[in-house]
Amino acid sequence: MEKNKFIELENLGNKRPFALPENYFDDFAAQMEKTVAEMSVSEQPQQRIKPWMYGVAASIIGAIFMVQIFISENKKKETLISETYETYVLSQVSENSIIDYYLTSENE
Amino acid sequence: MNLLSKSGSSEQEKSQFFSEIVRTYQERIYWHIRQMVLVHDDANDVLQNTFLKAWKGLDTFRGDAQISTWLYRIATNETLTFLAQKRMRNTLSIDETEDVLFNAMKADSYFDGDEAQKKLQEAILTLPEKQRLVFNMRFYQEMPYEQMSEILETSVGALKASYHHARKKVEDFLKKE
Repeated sequence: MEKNKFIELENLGNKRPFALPENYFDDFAAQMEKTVAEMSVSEQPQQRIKPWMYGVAASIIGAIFMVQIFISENKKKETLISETYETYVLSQVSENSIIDYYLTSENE
Repeated sequence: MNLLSKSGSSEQEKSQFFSEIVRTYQERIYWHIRQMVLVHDDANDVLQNTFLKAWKGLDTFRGDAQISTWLYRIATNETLTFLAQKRMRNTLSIDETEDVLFNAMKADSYFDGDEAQKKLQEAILTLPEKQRLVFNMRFYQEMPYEQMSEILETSVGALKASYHHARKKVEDFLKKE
């Protein structure tokens, strides 16, 4: 055989010079089925959370926040009302009556 | 029409349909990838990524294109991305990448070619990546230009010219001592 003969593409043909591990394609398909089954299981809980659920959750948080603001505002109003009432009562009592009250209670 | 309407809508039907796709097309897609990345372990990784992408896209895939065309497109993109990442990871030039791929192929226990086959692979590696893709699809897979045109989204005329140039370059390389 001539050592320096050029390699002709036609003579080489198109057989691939590559090998594969034994049962590669059967094993690959089985592995893919397993991977996809695992992915389906792990994806399921996420799929249960629908986009509209985020809206509902935000509304509930908003409502709780609003209720808290309402309660604290009411408390403030009650305090203000009681303070205003005391000031009103005291304004109706004369100064002499107050002095008498203190003197009487001291003597007692 | 949505592909899933053919396959059924439940998870089980979807998995079963996907399993059929894998078993039908895995061999063709594997060789398409392997011819580009040359090493079996790399081809295996890219093949896995290809089918995982296909699984994730199965719900949105519309049957406008054939399943095989759709899979070849995903595989081609995954392969080119893999090669680009390999170049970036090792900060290699295109010429250096050819050397790395060629040396890895020679060292791969799943390479079973003779010296002439090694030289042919070396010649093919001198081609620009896209031309290499065209050469492999036509020379090894004997794919019709019309199908190549759909997969690569390039005109038949451009593909014929590209293959002609690629073949000429490969033949010239083989004639060198």
